[in-house]
Amino acid sequence: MLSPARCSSMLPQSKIEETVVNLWKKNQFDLPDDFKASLKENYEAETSELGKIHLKANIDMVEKSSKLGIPFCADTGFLAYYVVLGTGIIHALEGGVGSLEETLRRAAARVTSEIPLRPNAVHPLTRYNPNNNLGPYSPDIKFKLLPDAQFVEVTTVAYGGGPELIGSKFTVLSPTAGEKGIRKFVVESSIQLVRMGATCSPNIVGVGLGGTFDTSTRLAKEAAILRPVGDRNPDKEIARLEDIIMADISKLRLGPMGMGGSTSAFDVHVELAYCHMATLPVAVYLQCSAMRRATARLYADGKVEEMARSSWLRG
Amino acid sequence: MKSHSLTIPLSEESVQDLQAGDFFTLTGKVFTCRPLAYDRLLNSQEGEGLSRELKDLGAHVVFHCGPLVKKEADEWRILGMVPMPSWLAGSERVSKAVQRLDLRIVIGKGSLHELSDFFVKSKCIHAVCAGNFNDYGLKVTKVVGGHWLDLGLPEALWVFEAEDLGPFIVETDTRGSSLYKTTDETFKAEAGSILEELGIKLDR
Repeated sequence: MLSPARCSSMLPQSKIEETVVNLWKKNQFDLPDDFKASLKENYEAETSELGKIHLKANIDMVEKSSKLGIPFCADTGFLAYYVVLGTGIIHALEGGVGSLEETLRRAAARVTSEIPLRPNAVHPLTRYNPNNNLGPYSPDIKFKLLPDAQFVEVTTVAYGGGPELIGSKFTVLSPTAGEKGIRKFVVESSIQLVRMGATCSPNIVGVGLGGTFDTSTRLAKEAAILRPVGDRNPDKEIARLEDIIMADISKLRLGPMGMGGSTSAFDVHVELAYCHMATLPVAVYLQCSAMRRATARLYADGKVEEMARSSWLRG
Repeated sequence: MKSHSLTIPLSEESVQDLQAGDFFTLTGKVFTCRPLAYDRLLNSQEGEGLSRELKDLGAHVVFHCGPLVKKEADEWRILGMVPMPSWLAGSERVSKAVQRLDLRIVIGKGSLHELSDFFVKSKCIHAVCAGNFNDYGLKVTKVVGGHWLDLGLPEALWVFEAEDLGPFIVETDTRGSSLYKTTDETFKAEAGSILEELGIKLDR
């Protein structure tokens, strides 16, 4: 039985909805601070004239969009949520976890019409578009439980069409392919995906190393999207690999939009999972140049805390 | 790298001075097209009707994009436009549309270098956008029409008027020179040592 005191500090779904709507506005109108700083640094350092023009257009547009309250990229993405749910708050969620999922879906449809966002979610076979970004697995909502934590943390992200269309690769290398084999696959993928402007670049290159078929691809995406620029994996060997691959990709000099230049990637992030001894799975995901992520924590007393990064990967 | 400002409708000669790597802006009527709209435009009776309409309007420019649109007081507004890869439309659809509608400029993302001979023959150019995202949506002055909204708002075919829309970068010009072909030669030369170190063989 809940005590009256606990009932009085129930977290209302309306509060969650309002917070999530604000997160969508934040990530559609402006780049995350880490990503914006990296964009500006790379613009200053860019050696190619064309490369500078591309990066400057991005900087200028973000300045305009945050002033005007419009999305900075017209492909407003495929909508997704990463929800870290503290076990200490589950009983204080109005309507329970089921209602939370409904709230997140409702917020996605609401911002699609209010901001507005481009309705990108369609039926894969008939191509029917309900024009509200709602459908099976759309928005894509993932939950993770965090023992004892007293908050629910929501991260809103939007995946651009580019990475979903051509910016992602998966393979299983020979178990003895080693570091060089991993570097080769990631660099080869970057070339195929960025050369001649096939998809938008520069971007954050996410690598899922090891795992099983699904874990590997999921980690590649999370590495690209949920970690800030400059972040290094706590595993020292993996952090070293991140630096090596970043140097490899920079040597390609593919540059912004694949037109050549010194900015070929903003960063490289690798996440690892143990794999079956017979395998060495590697997945690559290039998040597009329009990075959209925003995170906030909500507590039972209604307090909202904006977070610089999601705790999804290192909770 | 020269800059040009062009006014639509465009004559056959109007894009001949533009060279791969040049910049330009556009004033006049443009239409958007993604694969589903292309198929209806090129393979149906209603498509024939709309093709005639676009030709009569002098809309000589196709923009491969699904705009971000909003309806305000019964009127459609375009808030933003970013390009779709031109290779997603495919050379067959693009070349058919250029011929049928007398297009002078095809705008998109990436390269259409396999069509460079065709662009020479049809006195048409392929252009790409400056920036990964930009303020093109703010240069739209009026939405002239939204066709085939049943395809979904982004896949519908939108006709709009714009002022100084751009800047765009000429990717393939009417001489068949391609900016991406040139930058790709530089890439092959500059990346040579890292490709060799990792044992990477390029597919082209």
